Amino acid sequence: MRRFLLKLWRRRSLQADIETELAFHRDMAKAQQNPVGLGNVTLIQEQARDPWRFSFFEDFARDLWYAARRLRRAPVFTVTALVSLALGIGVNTAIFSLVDTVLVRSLPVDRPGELEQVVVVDGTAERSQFSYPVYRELRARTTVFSNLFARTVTPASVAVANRADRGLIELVSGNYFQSLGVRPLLGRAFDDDDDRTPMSHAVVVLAFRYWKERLAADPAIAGKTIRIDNTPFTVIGVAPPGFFGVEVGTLPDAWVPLAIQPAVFGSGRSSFNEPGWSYLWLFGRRREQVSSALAQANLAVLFQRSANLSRRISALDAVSCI
Amino acid sequence: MGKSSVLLQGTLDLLILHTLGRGPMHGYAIAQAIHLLSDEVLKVEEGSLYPALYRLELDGAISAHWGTSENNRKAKYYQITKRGRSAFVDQQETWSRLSAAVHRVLHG
Repeated sequence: MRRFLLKLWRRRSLQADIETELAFHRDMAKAQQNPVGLGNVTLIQEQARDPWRFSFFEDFARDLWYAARRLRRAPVFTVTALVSLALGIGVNTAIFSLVDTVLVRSLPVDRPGELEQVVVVDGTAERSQFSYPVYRELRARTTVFSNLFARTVTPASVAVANRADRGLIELVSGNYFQSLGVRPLLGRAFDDDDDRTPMSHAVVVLAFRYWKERLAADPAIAGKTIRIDNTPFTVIGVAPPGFFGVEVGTLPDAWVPLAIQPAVFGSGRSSFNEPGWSYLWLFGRRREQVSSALAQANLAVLFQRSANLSRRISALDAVSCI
Repeated sequence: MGKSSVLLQGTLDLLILHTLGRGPMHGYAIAQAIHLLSDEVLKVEEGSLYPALYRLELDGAISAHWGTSENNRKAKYYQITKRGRSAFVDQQETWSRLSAAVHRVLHG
């Protein structure tokens, strides 16, 4: 409190005080022919004044005042900035509510109403990504889903001939296209056979837009090779126009089987036996006559079991480390 | 002594308080006194002196008032306060302990 009052009391005269005092010091030194270290006067003044400032309030008030003056001097800029801000904030709100209602119902797939995303709610925390071993376990044991597929998406370099672009690759389980009921426009889509053995099938299904824009809609594309993160992949098909997967707002350039994961995602590390590495979003197609609630209950039990499995695998890992 | 004579952090406060123990002085006189009392070993640059004085004043260890100097100029005089005296005693003890310990390490 004493410091506060002292600061307040001396506020106005502080700058002049320091100047007078420093000038006196220099004059004295000169008069006595005493060499003075010619320091930076402004810096010394700043340093002497520093502890005396009401740093936050004083700076803030000064900044605010400065901003107001500048804005008044540039009315066109001010109006433009205000309108942009207002529009930006408004549009964002609009997009979020739109995605919310449109998300599931308008996916460009077969009977989107049956699709569910697997999310675990634990208290207030929500988990929507799972490890490969957990996915394998859930898929093998679920009875309420006719299909349970996994996906993740990653940026990668996609090269055709000598031209490489930054692209977006979606890694999906072998049952992805079949589960969604999506038939390729050209060639074939991959299936579980392409996704069984790690690193065995380097095949890729191209997005319609990528095929049209980067490959000039080459009708003989099937069988040709493109490189994804320097690994050669054989193009086996092209997805139909308008199909973008299951994430609104994300348009992958190509789809590859999950079994090829170490080549395009995770810097070469294999995820297949890593229960702690959760990177897959899971979606299922609910069987007819199975309610959403029943599906949830079934998953809850399974997840409990797979969580135990995770622990078991981690324990084994730990043992093998020793 | 050249630029390399760096005052240990905190020792300048101690020297200022000690010097002001002899009576009110302006900044220049303080610097001169320290210089002379140290047999011209220590040279207090204004760049260190004034920030230290302003900090000590804010801490309440010294007080300041404007007066007239020996050559009839307006000058700011500093005076040690009661709070300053007790701070000095504390710091002096700390300093003695520290310098004795350093001495023991170097010559022990």
